[in-house]
Amino acid sequence: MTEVVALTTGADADGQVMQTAAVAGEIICADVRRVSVAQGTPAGQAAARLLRALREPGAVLGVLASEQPSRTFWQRIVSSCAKPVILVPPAARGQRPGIRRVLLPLDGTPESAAAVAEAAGQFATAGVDLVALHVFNETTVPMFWDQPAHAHRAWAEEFLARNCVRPGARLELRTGVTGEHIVDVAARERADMIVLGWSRQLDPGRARTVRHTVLSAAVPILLVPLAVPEKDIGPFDAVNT
Amino acid sequence: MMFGGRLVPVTTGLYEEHVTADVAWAAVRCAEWTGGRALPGLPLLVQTARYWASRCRLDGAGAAHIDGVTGPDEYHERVDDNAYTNVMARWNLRAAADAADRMPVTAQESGRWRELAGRIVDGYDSATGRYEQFAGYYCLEPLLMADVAAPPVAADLLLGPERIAASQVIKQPDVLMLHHMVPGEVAPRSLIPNLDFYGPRTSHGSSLSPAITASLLARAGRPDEALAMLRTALAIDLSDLTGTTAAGLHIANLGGVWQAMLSGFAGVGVQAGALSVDPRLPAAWGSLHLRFRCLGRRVRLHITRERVEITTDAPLLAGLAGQEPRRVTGHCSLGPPGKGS
Repeated sequence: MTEVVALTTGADADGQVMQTAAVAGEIICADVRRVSVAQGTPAGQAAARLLRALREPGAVLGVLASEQPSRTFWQRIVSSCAKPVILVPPAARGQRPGIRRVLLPLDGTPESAAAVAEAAGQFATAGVDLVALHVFNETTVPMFWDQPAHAHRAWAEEFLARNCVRPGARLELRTGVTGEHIVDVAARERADMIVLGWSRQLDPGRARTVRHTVLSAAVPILLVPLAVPEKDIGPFDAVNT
Repeated sequence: MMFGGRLVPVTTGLYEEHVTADVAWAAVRCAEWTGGRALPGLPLLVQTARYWASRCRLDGAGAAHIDGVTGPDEYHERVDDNAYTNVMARWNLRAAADAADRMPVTAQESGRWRELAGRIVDGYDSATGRYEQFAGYYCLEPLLMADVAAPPVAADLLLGPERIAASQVIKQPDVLMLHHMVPGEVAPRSLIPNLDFYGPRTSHGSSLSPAITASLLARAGRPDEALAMLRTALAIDLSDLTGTTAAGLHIANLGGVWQAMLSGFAGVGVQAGALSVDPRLPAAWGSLHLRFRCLGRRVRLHITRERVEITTDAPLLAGLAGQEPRRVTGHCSLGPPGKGS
């Protein structure tokens, strides 16, 4: 049996967590299994219960509030769990039900594209609108940009072909700090979820994009671990250190 | 075009008026190289000259200006007195005046073209040997690529259109394009001062830029630097440096590479029905072989440091630069190549 494992802690966020888990379960055709811990349960115990449930073979996805039972609890879970996890931030409370559009930030590396490919496919199959986002910075900006309109179209088509082969997906381009643009574009595009590939490295100076997005986004964030050795990773986390 | 969530106007089609002179130049160049006595572009030369005659504005002192254009450097849109546009317009007017006796043009009109050509400002400063790219360029932020990122890089994407327009960073050769296309229209010995000034300000964010810069560096007597730039140009599609090769080859870059080989490294030119050769070989090259057609002949060049060998399938006037051309039949050795101009 395929399961979405949702953690509830007796807090206000539980309703949104369960709603998000239910929607995700519909999309991936999975049941929702609730793991409840009482308010005041030590974080270590809560983490152990959730991680144990997520380690079971049928568990494919975790869902939890990003600030419950503590502000750093989510970091303990996502850095220890090799499966995708949806974090529901406080600002997502009251969000409209359902997922109509997701934002896929892609850094242009095969690793990040591969990390979110399966999720993108499932969303696309479910009829969800896919908006990819690529942010140029000093390390990712193209060498050449000829006639802007033509270059933009050709580059976007090629980027999507390489990184997000899903019919109908479109690409938004920005320049600057990736995390800031993710939050901004998600709001502007009225995305219902952000899907981020990440390296599971939360050492100081790493995962700036993930941290910023989790702290600032107003919609749930699906974190999908990259399936490559850390030394080979060139994801947002490395780029934005 | 939408970029960064906002509408970004693309004005190249509105303001890059230099293409008017560029097309006339291409027609004349084609006629020179093919040796065609009847210039098929003559009507085009007339109409383009009339366009520039109508486009120039005379100031109170009688100097002619061209306002509100965009040069090859597309980072600075709608500028006044872009040196490239003005000098190409000047060339266009003079070329049309020179050919006036073969066209239904009155001597009065061709005389006006010639006079107007002499009045067009070009931003040249004899003290520095430099052309100001356009009126006010020197007042912009003196940003160098060393302060931005290693070229080639699309600096406009990195800095944004407002910042780039307020800086001296340029996309590709603009003033220097004159030295590539109409070296006879620019001040003698002005290539190097302009190369030294504009080179560090060039992002090479256009795929056309590296090949032309390679050609210019070779002509400036810096063939090893030219070779490094040529390698970048060669890699544009071979290594997919643009990330868009799947959508099609960058044909203009391929043309630029050929120009760099022919005009830049080999220093091949055709003028007044004669072929001239003025090679600049990088240290890494022992020799350079080229095959091409000009003046109705099939020509092969074998260039070494010691000699230039020419093989032609029919008699051809040819010589090393600075020497009187001679009649070459079959195979001939010219040499040794001089240091050139």
